[in-house]
Amino acid sequence: MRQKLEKLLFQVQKPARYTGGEWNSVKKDWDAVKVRMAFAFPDVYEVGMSYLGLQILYHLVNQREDALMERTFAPWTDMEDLMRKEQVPLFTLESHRPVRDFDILAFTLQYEMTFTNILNMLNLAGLPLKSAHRDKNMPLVIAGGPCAFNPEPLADFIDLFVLGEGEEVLHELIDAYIEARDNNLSREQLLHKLAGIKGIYVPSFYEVEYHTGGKVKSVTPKYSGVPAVVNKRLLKDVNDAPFPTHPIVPSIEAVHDRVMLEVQRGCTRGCRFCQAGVLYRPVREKNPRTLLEQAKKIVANTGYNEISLTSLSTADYSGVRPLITALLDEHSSKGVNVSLPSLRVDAFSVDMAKEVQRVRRTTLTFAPEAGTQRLRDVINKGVTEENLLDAVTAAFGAGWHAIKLYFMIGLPTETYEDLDGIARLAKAVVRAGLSQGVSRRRLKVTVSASSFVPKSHTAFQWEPQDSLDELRNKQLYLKGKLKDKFIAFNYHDSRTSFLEAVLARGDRRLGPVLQRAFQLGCRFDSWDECFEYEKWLKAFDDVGLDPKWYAYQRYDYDDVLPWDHLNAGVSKRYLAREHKKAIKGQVTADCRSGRCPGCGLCPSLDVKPLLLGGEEYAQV
Amino acid sequence: MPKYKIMFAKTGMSRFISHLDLSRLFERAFRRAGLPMAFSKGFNPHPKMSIAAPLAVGIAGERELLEIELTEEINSGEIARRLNEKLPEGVKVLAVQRAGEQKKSLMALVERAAYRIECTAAESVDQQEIDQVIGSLLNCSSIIVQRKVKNKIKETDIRPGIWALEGRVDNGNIIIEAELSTGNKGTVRPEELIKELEKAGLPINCACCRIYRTGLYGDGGEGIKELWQA
Repeated sequence: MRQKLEKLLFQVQKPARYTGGEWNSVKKDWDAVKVRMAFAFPDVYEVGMSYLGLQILYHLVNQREDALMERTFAPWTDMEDLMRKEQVPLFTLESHRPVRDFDILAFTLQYEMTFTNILNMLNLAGLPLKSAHRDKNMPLVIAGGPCAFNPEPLADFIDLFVLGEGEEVLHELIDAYIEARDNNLSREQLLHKLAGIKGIYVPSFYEVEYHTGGKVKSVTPKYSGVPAVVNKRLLKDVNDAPFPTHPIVPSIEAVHDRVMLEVQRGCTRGCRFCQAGVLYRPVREKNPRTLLEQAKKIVANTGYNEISLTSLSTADYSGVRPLITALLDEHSSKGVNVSLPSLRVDAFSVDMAKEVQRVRRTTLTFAPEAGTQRLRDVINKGVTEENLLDAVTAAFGAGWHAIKLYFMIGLPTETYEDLDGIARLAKAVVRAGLSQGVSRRRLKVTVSASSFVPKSHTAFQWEPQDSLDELRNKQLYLKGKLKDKFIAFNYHDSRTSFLEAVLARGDRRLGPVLQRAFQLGCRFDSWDECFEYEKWLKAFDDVGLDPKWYAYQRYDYDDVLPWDHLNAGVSKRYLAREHKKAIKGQVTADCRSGRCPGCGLCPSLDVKPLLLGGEEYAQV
Repeated sequence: MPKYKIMFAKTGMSRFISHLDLSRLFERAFRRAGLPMAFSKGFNPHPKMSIAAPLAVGIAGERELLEIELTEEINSGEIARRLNEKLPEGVKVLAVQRAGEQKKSLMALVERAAYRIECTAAESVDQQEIDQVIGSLLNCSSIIVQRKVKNKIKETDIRPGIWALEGRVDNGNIIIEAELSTGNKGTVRPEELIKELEKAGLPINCACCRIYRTGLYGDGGEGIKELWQA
């Protein structure tokens, strides 16, 4: 296998994507463990290696004496062609063994547009695509990650989904797998056993009925012992959670090639479009002492020159400023920098701007999301124009010359006035730069506008997406408005956002569409150079489904949604209330403020927000 | 601040690591090893480290060189030992020496590189035939190859860049040893040489050759010699 592989490596771009052997990668004795897991990331190596969840689970499984985990990624198209030609099956990077030799194959679902890659990887592994066609001599195929909260389009292909945080449930799953195998259980019997574990969803154990109009009528368990609603799993405290202090250091540059220090989990803001804000609730902050210790170990064990404070809204972390100061005091003399991912504009200040640029200056990114106060209130992004201008003025004053601004277009209730607002804000930022004396040669404001995609489990889950034409018109309108030598305007192919919307709120009938799209050659759909919209349309046509029905569907509050049986903890009643408030332009307080908005998560999952100093906010 | 010259090997799967990635890999290994790198000044400080000559992806290096400035004097043997504990599979430090105070960087000094190229012989061949092919190639006053430069085809004569060329048979393989120009004054790629040898009648498949760079040469003031000693 290795020799065959080497031959291919001379013929592909970036061969180091496939070699393994990176610093801190783990090669365990195949015969010394009971369970062998392959972690599969359905995108290229550089993207997959930027995913913290991979590092966490890799570390967690490889710490067990009785189990090992290796990695596999979607081969780029050049490699795929050669693998098919030379009959090299999908393999792992650690031992270069075929993926089909493993006991468990675990996919992560980060983004809907990777779904065809999953089918392609199953096929490259030499496995039948459909769960029903695989038996106990083949790997158990599981999946987790954000898209596992509406995994219905993948229901035919994946044996089970894990909802929520994997740290505890993965151990339970491995233990149950070992026990089942010791008792020589069939695949069906194993699945029954696993369906009894909290957080595990076995799609084949549910019957889905549809109304004549196409909406879901009911989703019901077929067997007793199978829960009617599957609740997500989560850690009550993230301080003692296993965190990888020896993360793998990729040998080729990854998208995020730095220390990823997770300062907290969850976000309290409650932006109404944001799925992650719901899926990762409640907020749980890590103790700064734990973080400093972990950072020290990770820098020593990886040699990275940058520590990124990661989480959904890092600047909200209660101890963020002292943490940055302490990290820089400790590491800056070794050329190690601290960076923050995109920032909310209200939590930023001159001080923080000055702190994070002590070693190396990176681009600052702010996410106002919408161009007017009215629309920002609709989406509950409680920041003001003044917040943004104060923040960028501070940043320019502290020496930055390039600022990135993220916006969304196509949000519910949006009008062209809101688009004008985006242009006005961008120009105000340019003026702030000039008034702070940033050189005209270096001043740059990058405006990125992504298209709104309604997602399950959010206040906007009932909303239709803007039509393709409408999104295109809005993009062109903005492009015209943003013609300015200091402004660069980026936007994505709206057709990708359209398909994302179809899959994000899709049901099981989309399984055959995915399979057809894969057969027609769709892969790497999130990569412009690979995306083939016409093939997707043909796939829908061949199966006899209309993608518009899914993307443009406006659901009623009392409709059964395809994901209603998968519970992220926030009640549907609360989401409906949030939706109504959104339409009225009313904001909801941050749950950090002490005013519980009543989302229902804490009582339903028996948890509480965990803030520094042990503060907790009780239910109102 | 003290400067060090490091000789290292990049073999096995690590030969697929690109030049840029290799610099990053070394920077991280130095940091893991707790060796205090000196940094450039400015907004984006980077370590004062340079690899003598980039190596194409897929070619193994047996005696590669890099230069680095540290902020304090550290025993050469200790640098080697500490680095080797922190380098990934396939990358290994062979020797470290304190560099002199010469002004020119290794990168500026490199003029030639030695290669060993192992090819599977497509048919049996003897020493005489190999010598004949090599002799006829060396007798050419010019060897024109085509290179793609920014989407344009450019013709280049590689003959002046071939300083030594020998071949032998070993266990059914043809082993080519060559010394070729590399660096600022012009470069001959080993793949180009192999292609020409194949064209001249050597029974090899140039897509299946394993290439090793075995040394780097330059003139540090006392004529061309291995840069490690220059």
